[in-house]
Amino acid sequence: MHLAIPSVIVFLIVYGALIGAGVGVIVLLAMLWKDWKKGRLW
Amino acid sequence: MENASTTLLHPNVGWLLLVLFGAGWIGLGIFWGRRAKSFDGFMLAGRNVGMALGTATAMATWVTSNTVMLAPVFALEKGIWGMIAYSTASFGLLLFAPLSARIRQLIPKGYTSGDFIRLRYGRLAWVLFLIITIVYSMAWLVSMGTAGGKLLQTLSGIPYINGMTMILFVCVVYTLFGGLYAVIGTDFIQSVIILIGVVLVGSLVLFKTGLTQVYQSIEIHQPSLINALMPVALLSLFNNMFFGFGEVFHNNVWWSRAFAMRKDVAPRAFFVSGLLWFPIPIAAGFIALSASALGINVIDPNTVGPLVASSVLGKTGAILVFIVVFCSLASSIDSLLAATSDLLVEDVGKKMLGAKDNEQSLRRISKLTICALGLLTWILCAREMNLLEILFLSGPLVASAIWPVIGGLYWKRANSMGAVLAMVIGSIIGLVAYYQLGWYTASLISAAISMSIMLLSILWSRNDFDWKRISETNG
Amino acid sequence: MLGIGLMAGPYQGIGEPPVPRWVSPNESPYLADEGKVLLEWQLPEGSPASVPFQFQLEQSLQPDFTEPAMRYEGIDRATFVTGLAKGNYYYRVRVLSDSEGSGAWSKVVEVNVEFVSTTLVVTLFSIGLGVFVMTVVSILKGHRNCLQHQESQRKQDEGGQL
Repeated sequence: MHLAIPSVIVFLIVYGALIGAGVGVIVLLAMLWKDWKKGRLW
Repeated sequence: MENASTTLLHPNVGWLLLVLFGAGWIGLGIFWGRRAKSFDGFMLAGRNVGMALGTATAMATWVTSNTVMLAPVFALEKGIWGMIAYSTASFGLLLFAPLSARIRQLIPKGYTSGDFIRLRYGRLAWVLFLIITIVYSMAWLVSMGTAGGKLLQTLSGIPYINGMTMILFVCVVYTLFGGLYAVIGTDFIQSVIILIGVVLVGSLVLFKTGLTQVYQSIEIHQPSLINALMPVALLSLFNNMFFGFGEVFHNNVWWSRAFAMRKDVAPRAFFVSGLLWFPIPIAAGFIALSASALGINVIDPNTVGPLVASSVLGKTGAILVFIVVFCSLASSIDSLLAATSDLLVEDVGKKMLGAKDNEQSLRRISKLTICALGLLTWILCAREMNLLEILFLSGPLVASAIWPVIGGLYWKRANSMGAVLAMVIGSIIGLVAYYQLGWYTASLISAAISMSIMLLSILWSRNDFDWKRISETNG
Repeated sequence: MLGIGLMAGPYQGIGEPPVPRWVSPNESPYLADEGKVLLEWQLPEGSPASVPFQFQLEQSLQPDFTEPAMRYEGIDRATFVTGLAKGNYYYRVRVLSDSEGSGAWSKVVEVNVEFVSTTLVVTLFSIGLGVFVMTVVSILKGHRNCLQHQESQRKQDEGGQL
């Protein structure tokens, strides 16, 4: 059984993952900054 | 036959990177290790880790060299569904979030997952659990060591034994000096490097090839890779998911983090770490799909990731891959060293053998255990024991522990008999399924059987467990 | 002549170009149950070793190669093919030559791509889905009970303090 995934879905998945991972870096650094300012790192 | 001209990087470049990063981790380990004023500080980073560091350590530990190297293989062989199937391993982290809240509620002063099983289910279940977790943890540790040595050799021609020794040496030293503070601190840096590396390589490959061209090439030459009903991927989807659940729900690597984070932080940190982890296999894996569009001839599928990266990006690509692989190895090995030695010290040393419960001697035993564990791992890696097979075999073992853990945390009618039978019978039948039916059935069948036994035992149970028996005892 | 051929290019040696032999797959027809196959070939003993031969690999859906597709052209002696859809595929490889007739084609190797039975896939998928849903639901329900219990405990404590 073959059901081709449309190219637009593939695009969404791949671009989404790259953007998601990039956003992840920003989120981690932002959280670090916030914790550090409040002295709640560890 | 590797020689300097055929590998992607020159050995000297590889050594330079290893020494630079290795010295960095060790330096930071010593620096952060000074925070560890007490045994709790050494083992559990003072039980006060915040959201940022907590999230990063959960995410980085779950990114192993497999994530970075195998995701492209999954994409190459199983296509889009293969990549997404790999990403569902993040569900283990997502689901551990509520579990961690319950763990903190029930056993706030606990040290290990073994502690919980012992208090909840008694000694027999505890011993079975320890066997499962030690087999799995050693298999994971040794397979990381051997994978590391082989990868460094493939990427840069550094001989296997040298590369493997260097990685283990660096990880043992900074874990020894810094305990969980060093592990968690370096995990944050490693997680940022991994994410940046994966995004950089992926984006640059995407920029050079264009997704339209890739899609069209696959449509013609490799149509199964964009098949939404790709049988191979669907077949193993849930099996791999339960392997992942089993790994996360039972292992002390995750429980120790639950204990190390501040109480309100743990659930949120695990949840966010799962979200952050999800895109990584896709971002790292899709570059393998570009191979045919780029005219790259793949011969050995296991190296397709670095092959595409360096074909498209030259030396820069190879260096990025090298650094990302080294970070993903270090972030997992250090966590395993720390958490497994915690388990051995607390569960075997203290509770089984009755080691003295004073700070100094415990700290000394901990450090000795980390060294011993490192040495044992080195010996097994040096003999190139192929523990990858054992790692796969541990799938049904850890999967059989999923429902005993869930039941033990939430339901007062979950009982020892049920837990013991679930782990034993689930494991045995799972192992039989591995050989008789196929690897892609083992963890699934083990989880299903273990679940059924737990549910039956709960229906049959007449007694309610008194939760106070756990929380009143101090860990 | 043989020594000049240091840059990869068509065969420029003396006599007929050698005919490649299959190393992998080592049987024909070969069952590829995951849609992937390693195609590897070698030249027979006695072929000139210093010449970097160029090869041409063709794939066809018919055994008589009526509509061949070029799968690979280059100096490697292997290629790993993945993502094939269900069906039968035929491969042959030859040494590339700049004269009219290139080297003779190798024997044809047949690869059958057959995936595991749909029944098995559906069965395992369904069982997996079932256990997955039960697991998630149990955790979420347990979590909700936890939170409710925590709330009522807090209210009790507060009530006790008033």
